[in-house]
Amino acid sequence: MRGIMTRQQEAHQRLRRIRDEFDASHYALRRAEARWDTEWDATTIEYRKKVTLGQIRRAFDNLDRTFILRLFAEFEGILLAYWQDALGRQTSPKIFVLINRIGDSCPIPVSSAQRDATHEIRRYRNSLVHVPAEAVEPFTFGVCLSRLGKYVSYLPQDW
Amino acid sequence: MTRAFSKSPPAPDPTLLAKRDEWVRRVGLLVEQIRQWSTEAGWQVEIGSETIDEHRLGQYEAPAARVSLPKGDLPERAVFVVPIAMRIGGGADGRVDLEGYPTLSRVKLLGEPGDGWTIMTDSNVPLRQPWTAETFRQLAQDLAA
Repeated sequence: MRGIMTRQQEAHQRLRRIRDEFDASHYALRRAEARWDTEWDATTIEYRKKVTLGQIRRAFDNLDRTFILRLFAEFEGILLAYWQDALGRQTSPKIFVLINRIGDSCPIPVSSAQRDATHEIRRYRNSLVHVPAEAVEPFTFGVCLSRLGKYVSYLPQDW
Repeated sequence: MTRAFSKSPPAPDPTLLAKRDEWVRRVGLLVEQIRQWSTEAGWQVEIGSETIDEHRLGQYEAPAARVSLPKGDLPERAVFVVPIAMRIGGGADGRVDLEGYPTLSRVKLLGEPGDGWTIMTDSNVPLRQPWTAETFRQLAQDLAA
């Protein structure tokens, strides 16, 4: 249905793949936890020499945050590639600058509401890797995906 | 010298192939239903197909669709109707995804015995709404919002 992909569709596909891996990890961790007391095949026993139930639960509790970091890294890669390939820039500016400058350059400029929504995700992502100076609103993986997907939809179909 | 021998996959079971054909027919009915409901709402629909590759069923084509929604404040909004697989386990009769663009938000339609569909969120919580024109139109707008 999607046929030969445009550059923008490829960019969305990159985000979609992270979503699908998030779902796969969610499933695998839930399954591992649910079967902890009943599964005793050779592979499971081998893994249990290095993985505890507590680690599985912690990985599950942190799953959103782990995948938000990956999602945002992919988003950053998409914008940097656009900056260099489509806009012909040789620099690698910070993501704050990329969001604003690319937003201005799009055929339909990214609305201030969408730009602010993207910056909120950027601030949340930063709070996951640095100790934030002030309180930052947390977001689920789904909200991050939706907002970054919307930003990417302002890029031209091809560049 | 190493030489690789690859076994050709076994021919699909005729009973499974008949089920697969029935599933493709069922997806076709769903896509047609969505086309009708969308057209009534004034939304443009593009019908196409998706290639599916399933264990023991081989590669086959199933109907798919793209529904264009009012753009609102975005350059474009749409919903994709994407058949995923017939054999998904758990007693469900196949899965078709509704995916919003550009949000990539998604719900799964799981086939029920007969011709019904259960709407399942990404968290695997059923929506418990009947599959009707009104439900579809609301879902489509929410998915792309």
